[in-house]
Amino acid sequence: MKRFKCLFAAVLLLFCLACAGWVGAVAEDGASGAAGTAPDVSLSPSAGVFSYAAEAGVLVRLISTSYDIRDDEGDPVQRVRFDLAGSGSELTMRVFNPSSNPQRFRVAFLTAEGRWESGYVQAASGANELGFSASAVDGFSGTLAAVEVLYSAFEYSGNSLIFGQMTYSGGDVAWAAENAGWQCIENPIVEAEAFFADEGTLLSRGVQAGVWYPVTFATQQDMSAYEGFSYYIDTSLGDRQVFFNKYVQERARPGETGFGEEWYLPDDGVAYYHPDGGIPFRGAANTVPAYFRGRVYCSFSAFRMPEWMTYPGNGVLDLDDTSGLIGLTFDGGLGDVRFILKDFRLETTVEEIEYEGLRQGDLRYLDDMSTYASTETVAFGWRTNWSLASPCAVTLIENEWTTSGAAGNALRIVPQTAPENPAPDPATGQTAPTNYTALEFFPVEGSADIAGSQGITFFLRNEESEPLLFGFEFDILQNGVRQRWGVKPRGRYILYDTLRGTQKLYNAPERSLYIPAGFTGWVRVDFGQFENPSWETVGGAFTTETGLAYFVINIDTLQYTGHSFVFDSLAVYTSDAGISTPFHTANTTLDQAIGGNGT
Amino acid sequence: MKKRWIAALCALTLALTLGLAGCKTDEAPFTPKPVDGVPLAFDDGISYYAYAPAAVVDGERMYLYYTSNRTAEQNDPSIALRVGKRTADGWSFGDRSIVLEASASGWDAGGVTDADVVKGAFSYQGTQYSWLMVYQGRADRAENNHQIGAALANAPDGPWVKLGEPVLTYDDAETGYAWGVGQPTLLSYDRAGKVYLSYTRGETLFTGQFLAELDFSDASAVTGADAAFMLPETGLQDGGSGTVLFNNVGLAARGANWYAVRDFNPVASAAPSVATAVQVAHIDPADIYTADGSWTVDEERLNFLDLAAEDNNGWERVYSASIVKDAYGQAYGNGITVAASVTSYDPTTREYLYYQGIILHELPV
Repeated sequence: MKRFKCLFAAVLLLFCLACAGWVGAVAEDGASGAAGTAPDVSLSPSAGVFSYAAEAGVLVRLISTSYDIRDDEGDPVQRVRFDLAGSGSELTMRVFNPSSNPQRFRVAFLTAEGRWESGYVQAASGANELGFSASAVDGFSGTLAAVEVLYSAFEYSGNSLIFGQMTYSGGDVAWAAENAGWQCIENPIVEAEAFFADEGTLLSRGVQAGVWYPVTFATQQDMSAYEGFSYYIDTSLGDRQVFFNKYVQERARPGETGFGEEWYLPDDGVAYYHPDGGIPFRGAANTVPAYFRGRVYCSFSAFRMPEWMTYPGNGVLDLDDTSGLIGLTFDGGLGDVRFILKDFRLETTVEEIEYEGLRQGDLRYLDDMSTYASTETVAFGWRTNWSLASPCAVTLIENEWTTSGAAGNALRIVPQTAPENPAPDPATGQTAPTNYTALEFFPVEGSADIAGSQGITFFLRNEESEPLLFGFEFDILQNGVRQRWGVKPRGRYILYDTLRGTQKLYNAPERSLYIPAGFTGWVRVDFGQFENPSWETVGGAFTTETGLAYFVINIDTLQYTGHSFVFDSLAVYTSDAGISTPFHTANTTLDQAIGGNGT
Repeated sequence: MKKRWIAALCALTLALTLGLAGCKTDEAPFTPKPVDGVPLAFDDGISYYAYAPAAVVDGERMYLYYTSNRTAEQNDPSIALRVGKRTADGWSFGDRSIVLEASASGWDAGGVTDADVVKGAFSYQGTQYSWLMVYQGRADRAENNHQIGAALANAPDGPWVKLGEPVLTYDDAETGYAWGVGQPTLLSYDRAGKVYLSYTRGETLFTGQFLAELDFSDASAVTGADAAFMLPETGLQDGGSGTVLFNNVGLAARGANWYAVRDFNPVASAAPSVATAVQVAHIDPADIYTADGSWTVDEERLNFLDLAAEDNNGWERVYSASIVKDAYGQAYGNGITVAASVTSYDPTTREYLYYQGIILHELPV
């Protein structure tokens, strides 16, 4: 509820802004689609104007969404600053002038020694690609630390200029700050795509906990011919998932008071993720996984009016309302997030994606690894987020030890030594690295449905000639808060070696599972064999009714650095299948349970 | 006449040979073991240790197998046997005999210990046998890399024919140089060739009690060893705050339950560092195949308080016990009779090796 209150305030602000000027800007640039033919329409001013393609010879390519700089009636010069890292003097910038008339602005170059302003730069109507050279400015000296864009609100009251996609020849660029008089309707994070080429140092913007950062798109058109919208997002610049609320704001209709109804995509709703070069998958409506690059599709049919919404209205999402305002608001409380957001557009079709292989036998998969198309895309689901944790090399491989219930992709995991100079833990400030991996998995839909299940299972292969102590923990939700569970000392678990044909029960030596050398098969642990770690403060008895929100693999890297094991088919199971031995046959055998009937 | 003289000479020679041989065996005068509790079941004297008993009652006889040194005051562990007869006062045991010794070379050349025996029907190299012994062996004198072997006989007192190779192996290249597998205990599954064999496995990463379901019907090709799994530990109790250490177990069946006697851990911190008590618990055998199987404790600690006599304070070390059972592994008698190792020790040197003896104690379970 707290989130919604913050969001509500943001929405009010944005609505005012949208009515004040942004609406007009979009209307002027002619990017709106014709309702009659209902083409896919780009609503972001940057979309359709700026491309995302990499350019040869560019050291660092800055991708930003756009800034709308508007008149605040009190400050004739609006200003936005971009911090620069590296050494160079050449900049390029794409500027979109939505007005039919030329507009001008200035650029200021900042060094440690001083500030030099360029003369006026003319931006023609429409798209402009402009270059700037600090060294060409009389008297310029020193190392360029920042660049500011200055725009006369007095001169162009009611207009706007949109700046984006800045490239700096000398290094990286990061959006830094704007003066207090400005209002940014779009308030993006700016980062460098060159991160992927290991060029330069990634600059980041620290976001403030508890603050909601809005990004709003004014449609100003009849959306009734559209099934939903999509946007392109790149979260691979950082190591954190990004939480977005999504809403549609209606204008108040005759007889309605206030601002009109707001419709939200619920947190437990679904969005459809189309990763670049990857296999589309269904995921959480409002939580974009870290390391995701691609397009996210949301359907209007999934929007709901929150229970707390008190605006009088007709209770119907009126997509024909030409005052439509679609907002994405991300949560600064998640810490230092980095992402690129662009190319927002309406979609005439939003294709639903079902998660194939969700259930098989008594297995309900949390991740069968089938959605990963390459090693790079594994990071959509599995990654080491904690800076102090020992890293591990994760590669996508084919599960060549196929058995019933396990096929296709698998992860080969090789723990590495602890990091030498890790970034501080954001919560504690600690910098001492740990000798444990923390390979984490977040269910794509936020929390996975495990209702009625008996325990947790996965496919594992110990590729070494000595045993492995394999640690893992998971979180369930207790009143929306994550609560940690780990295997209790001497907790009992099943090892079904499908290669050797043996089914065994073991007792966990401590809080880790003992995996014999060469073991290849299924591990099953009843939920009754788990307990809360001593540090857990979230109370409440174990339940499967609230969902599993997190899973983490912990391996001692002092002991197992360089050791290799294969992990696959994380699932929960729903039967009480037991082991069968030479003298004993379970009522429900593991073969029956895992092979299943495919239902 | 000549034949008579020759016969008399031969008899004299034989007598001298036997006599000398006897003198050599008994060159150390018999000195009884010190007793710090209830009386020992028998006394081999302070030149021979006796521990790790396995008592099988067949007909009117109790066959009490135990670990003992073959040679006086030499630590050359072997399997000894005393056969007991039921008397009004309990069991009266006959002389000690060595029924299984270390091999001259190979995996059990370092000593054989901790035997258990069950009756059944076993075939080996074309011969039928009716008794199976399992035992713990090691290749050298180091207390590591133990493995479990088997031997067959047609009578409980032997002679025993060893199988050439261990039936449960320990590979230190795979699981580290550690204690290994040992302390086996047997129950018959079908009164024929199939047996439950429970044993302790001690690796570098853990120690636990396992169960193997083995088929000795054709003892030259024993099956089932690769499917051994761990027994539950829930419900068992140990001293201290650590997790339960389940090891050194003797099993017997009684009705619908299995009973176990086990070392109560942790062991004594001062030498001799063996357990100070044993615990008796039972479980429904169906539960050993489940994740939530649990033991019910019948006797938390059988210790010096239970094993004191009028003139002493009771045995301070009680360990390595078994349950007296019939030929197929059913608990013998109305209660649970525990055969336990006990020992006194020299208070100065803490030496105890040859003081170890065996007591029988019935619990009214």
